[in-house]
Amino acid sequence: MAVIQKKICLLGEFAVGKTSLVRRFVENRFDDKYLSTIGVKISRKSLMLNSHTVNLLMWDLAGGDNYQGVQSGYLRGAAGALIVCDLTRAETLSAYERYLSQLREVNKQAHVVFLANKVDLVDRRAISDKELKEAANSLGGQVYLTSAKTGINVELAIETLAKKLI
Amino acid sequence: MSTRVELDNSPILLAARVARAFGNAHRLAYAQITPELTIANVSTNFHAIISNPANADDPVEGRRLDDIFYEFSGTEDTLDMIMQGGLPFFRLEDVNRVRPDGETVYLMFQISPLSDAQPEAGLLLIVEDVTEPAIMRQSLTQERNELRLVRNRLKAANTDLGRLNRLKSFIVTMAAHDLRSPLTTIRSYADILAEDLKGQVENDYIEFLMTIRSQSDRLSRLITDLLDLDMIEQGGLSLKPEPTDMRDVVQEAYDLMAPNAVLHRLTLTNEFATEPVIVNGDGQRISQVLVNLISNAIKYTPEGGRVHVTLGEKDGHAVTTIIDTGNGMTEQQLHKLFQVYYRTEEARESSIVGSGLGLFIVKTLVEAHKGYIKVNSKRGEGTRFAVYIPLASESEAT
Amino acid sequence: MTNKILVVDDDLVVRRLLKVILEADGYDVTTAKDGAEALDKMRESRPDLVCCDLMMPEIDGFGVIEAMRNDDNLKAVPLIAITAAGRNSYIERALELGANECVLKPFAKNQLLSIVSDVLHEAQLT
Ligand SMILES: Nc1nc2c(ncn2[C@@H]2O[C@H](COP(=O)(O)OP(=O)(O)OP(=O)(O)O)[C@@H](O)[C@H]2O)c(=O)[nH]1
Ligand SMILES: [Mg+2]
Repeated sequence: MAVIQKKICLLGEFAVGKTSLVRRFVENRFDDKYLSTIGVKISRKSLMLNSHTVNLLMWDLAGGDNYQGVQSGYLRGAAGALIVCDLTRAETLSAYERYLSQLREVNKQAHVVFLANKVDLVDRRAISDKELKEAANSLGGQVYLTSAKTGINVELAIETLAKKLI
Repeated sequence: MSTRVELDNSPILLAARVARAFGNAHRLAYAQITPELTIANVSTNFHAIISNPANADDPVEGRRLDDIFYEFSGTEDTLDMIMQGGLPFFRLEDVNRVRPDGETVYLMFQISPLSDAQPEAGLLLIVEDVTEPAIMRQSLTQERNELRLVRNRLKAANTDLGRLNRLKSFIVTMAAHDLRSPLTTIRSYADILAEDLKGQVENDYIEFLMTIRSQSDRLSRLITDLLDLDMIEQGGLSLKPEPTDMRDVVQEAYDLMAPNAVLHRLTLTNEFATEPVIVNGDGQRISQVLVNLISNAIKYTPEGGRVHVTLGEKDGHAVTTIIDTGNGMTEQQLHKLFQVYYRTEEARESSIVGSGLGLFIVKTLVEAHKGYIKVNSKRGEGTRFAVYIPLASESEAT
Repeated sequence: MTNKILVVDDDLVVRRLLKVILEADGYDVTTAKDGAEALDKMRESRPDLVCCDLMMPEIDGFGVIEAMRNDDNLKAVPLIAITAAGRNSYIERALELGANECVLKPFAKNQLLSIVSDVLHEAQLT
């Protein structure tokens, strides 16, 4: 049985929870403390999917901001990407489009799934379901409401992406 | 000219020599990569630099590049491009790695052709440990991002506050409007009844009707206070200053309050300047100030007492004083007098109706005229309010 | 001849109060509960004076003033705006649009009556 190795990138504004999502997925852990990522941190996790073993290489990239995106070198060879926004910060949703187009510049065929993270922070929610659906629809992708803190939908979303890659 | 490339150490040694010349050899490692993307040979410090715990003692020579560096998995196309001369190099900056001891190190990977003339002959991998500068960049980024998060939250909180404030303002305005209509009716019917029934019913009943009337007036002043306060808070306090003779203003306020003094069985007396006292001010607003202060004095002075109002000039100011023989205030009470919603304990416990807004509005209005208020008070003896408003300069007065 | 006054207010109680006060002083009073009804009634029978609340649903007091000032037959009919609004801007706007006077709620009976007679008097002079 063949082992498939796939690279997926995590993209999104700073502090939306990319590192936390990977930590939840790979180590099943959560940390409240914020440590800004610079550059990239690559983690591995093997999944059994439809009788394939998939070795996922999760590229956790530093979040950008309005002015600067990610370095295109990181995006080369990615089979898929998780583009993440923070439900408590409206401006992180509009960044979906920017990250997608950046990805497409170097990487035409990568599969994309959108995540809207921090769904546990109900009181501070700043993006409605409707806005999310509209954004994801217009960019042609699925969107999952996740929480790295509670773990809700994290596996589901990442496995959905992984299944598209095999 | 030979087409065969010597797979010896020479390019690595060359690079090593350059690095040493720059004094950062200890942070640089090199590997030679075959066209098939296996590792041919590596510099001696290679293991130490790449911090690859699993392979620390295993030889890496002969292994596939992406076996040792999963950073390169999926990049075969890119590396092929380099070997076809389509790309000068491929670089990954700030790759985080956790050393066996738990420390994070940052590495820079760069792959370029061994020989520019023959890119297809193989690749050179340079790995540089950039931990030191990266940690500095990390803390800068950290600080910047945290600041941005705080700023975002402040902005959101600010928007919320602004919304709440506008809502409050709207509610105050609407409530004031909705309270005034019924007040009008109550007051006017009390008026009509008192007039028509005079002499036909017991005097007590007429007095009850007058009480209904005066209490509606009080409520109505409270509503005005609330609206004024809201206006001040919204920054909408606008004065229409013009040369104004304070004698007219003081007289008007005095006359308005005179019946009130009679009702409270007090003596109201005055001593006004005989010459014009001209200020550059909004007569209606100054009158509001004085009505407020005189009505306060009347409210807080027991029956049989006296309220004395004077107008004069001092140090370039028009000075209006309101002196009562009331109960006076303590130091502590004086201190908080002009705060919004402040009412003395006595005021709260007595039957005297007041909102606690009045003096705050008074102070704001006087300050809007560049004036100030002085208060002297002694327990058991009485209180003296003095309102100072700058006299109009010669040019303004004409 | 008794002067005809049209009272416009969406509040029944205030309408009735104004009617009581004005009739007691000898005026002939009709009432309307909103701007549209007021304009209908004025066009049917031209009053000598209109006392109109400013804040009403649908056509508000400002709308009534504007409609009157743009109607050749009603242009000259004097109008007293009656308002409970706390904003000077309302009063200023009403006067700008062509109200002759503004009365603030709550008003005293005598104050209202003297303003009514002043405005009527002035209108009849011109
Ligand atoms: N409540 C809650 N907090 C979260 C969640 N995900 C992340 N956080 C917090 O959000 C902050 C930022 O999370 P990170 O995972 O470091 O964000 P990042 O996207 O990796 O940020 P950069 O590395 O700067 O791009 C941290 O304080 C996390 O604890 C979540 O689902 N719920
Ligand atoms: Mg991160």
